[in-house]
Amino acid sequence: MNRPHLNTATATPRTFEVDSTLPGVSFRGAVVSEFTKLLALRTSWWLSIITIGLGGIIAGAVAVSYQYFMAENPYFTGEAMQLATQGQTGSYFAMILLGALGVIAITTEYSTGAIRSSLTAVPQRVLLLSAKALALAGWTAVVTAVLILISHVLTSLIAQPLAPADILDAEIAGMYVATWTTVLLTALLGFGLGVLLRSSAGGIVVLAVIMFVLQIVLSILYGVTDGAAWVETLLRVEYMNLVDNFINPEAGALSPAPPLEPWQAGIGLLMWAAVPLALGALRFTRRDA
Amino acid sequence: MKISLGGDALRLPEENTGRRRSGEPDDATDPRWEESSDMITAENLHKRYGSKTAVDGISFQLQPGKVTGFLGPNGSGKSTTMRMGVGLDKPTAGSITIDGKHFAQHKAPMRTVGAVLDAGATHPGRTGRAHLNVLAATHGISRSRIDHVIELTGLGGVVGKRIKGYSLGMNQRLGIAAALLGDPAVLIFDEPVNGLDPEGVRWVRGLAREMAAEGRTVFVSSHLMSEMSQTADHLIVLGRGRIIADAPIHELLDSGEKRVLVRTEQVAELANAITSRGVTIDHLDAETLQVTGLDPRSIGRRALEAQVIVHELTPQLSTLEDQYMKLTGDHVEYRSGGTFGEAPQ
Repeated sequence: MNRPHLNTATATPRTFEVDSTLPGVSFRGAVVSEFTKLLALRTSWWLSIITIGLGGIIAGAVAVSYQYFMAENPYFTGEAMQLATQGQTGSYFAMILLGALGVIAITTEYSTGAIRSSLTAVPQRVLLLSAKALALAGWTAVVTAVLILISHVLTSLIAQPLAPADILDAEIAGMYVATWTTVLLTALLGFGLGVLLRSSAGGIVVLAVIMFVLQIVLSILYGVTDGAAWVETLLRVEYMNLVDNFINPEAGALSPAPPLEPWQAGIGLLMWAAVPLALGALRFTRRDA
Repeated sequence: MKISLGGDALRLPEENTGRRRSGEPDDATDPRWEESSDMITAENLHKRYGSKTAVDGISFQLQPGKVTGFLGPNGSGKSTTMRMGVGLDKPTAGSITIDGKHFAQHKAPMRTVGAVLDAGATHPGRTGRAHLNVLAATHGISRSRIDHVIELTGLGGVVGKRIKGYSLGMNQRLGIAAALLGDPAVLIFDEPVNGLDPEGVRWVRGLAREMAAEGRTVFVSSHLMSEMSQTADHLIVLGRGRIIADAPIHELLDSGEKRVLVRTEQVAELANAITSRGVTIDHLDAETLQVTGLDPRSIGRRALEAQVIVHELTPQLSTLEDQYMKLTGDHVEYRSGGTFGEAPQ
């Protein structure tokens, strides 16, 4: 049985048995793993702290100036909904910051090579991608909820027309939920861009273009084409126009395009997030890691 | 030179007795048992990147209980093959399966295969422990198992530090720790000793041998033939994406030319005595000959007949390095241009 051999450690070999009762890979496990990744990264914490901090400062500044304006204009009584909406201005910064977190949640895996470790642990790529998206959504949901709450508390404590208990007002609560949803969807949009482009810089730049440049370009085009119908259509489905229409139906008055119903704007935003995600998923499942 | 293992599977049952899994037939020659004993099977595996062919139609089978070395020069397709094994890259044609299934089809991939494909496959901002926690969470692997692999790989002192501060050797150990987390049946190590200090190299060799002795399938790649000669039972030699040898390591060594070193003061007389068809005699110095084509016993007998006093008669074992150079000579993608002295000033 023992043939001449340089290495004789396998003189009596056997097959190693894997205990089949031990757990295998699961969606829940993959989500916990992805959430652990976010928890373990300084970038996640810094972006989230800056988001909440900046949101708080903006809310405070808005409330102080509102209060100051009211003091200067005794006939201006203010309006709770108006102040609450302005108090959430920080959510626009949250969109870009947490959208960037969405981008880098996947692109850093590629730039560091960690994606190879992730895929050898969870080779089912759709499962891995879904777990990543869910963990990111969970993180963003918590950070945005904290941001909205802090902004509300600060605004309501500083400026008179808004009271802390107004958070229970249906109209204000609805606006807060819409704000929360747009930040969440923007983080997922960033994630989709990250999966699709596999580049942090590329993903963040495209996200910034979608958020800040597209509206300006389309507005100029609207003027140049003397309000062409196709530009008007593009303006209506432009990302930030959808955000404004979704959060505050009154905001449509500021846009040259006719306003959309909040539910229409909601579907539009969902599509904006879904298309890059779907294309990214297609690329993720087909390409080499 | 091509050493075919076409009949190897038929020879192995003699060695494989005891590797049978429950439910497998008793008869070691039963073809069903032959089939089930292969843990990694590559069939006509191809991989092309654009116009470049990285892997060019290779087929092989790996059995448990052995360390199989995957040897080849840089760029020969070793890493690509291993990456396809764990589903990171998709084959252009052909397939590679683990225990009969594609890697992604296994319910518990980390308990099936532990792979160290790239020491840098970690996020530098995470701590070593966080990296292991992240991977363990996917399979519900316990904290005690994480602690065990940390202890096993000697990472206790650095596991709380961020990976960006790790040396290449520490990264390799972390990669191995991650591969062992699931206590897997198959281990795939791509160049595992890169960056390790001598103690680390020895440790990896011991680990590979130990894992194979436990009945696991161990697949280790290297471009260093000396490394393989100390670790592997079986070798697959790759050159430019093709298998150029697939055989037990001793067969590769035995297939080399037999040389004998002879030392005598009567060099000319001995040379006369042993000269015959098929015998090559090299004069190494005034008292030393290297003889190819005769075994030491025949040389000794002829020396006695010619009354030549021989001081030394040493069989020269063909080294794996010799065989490797001979096998891969025509398959090296990158070749150095000459000596440093020839460089333009």
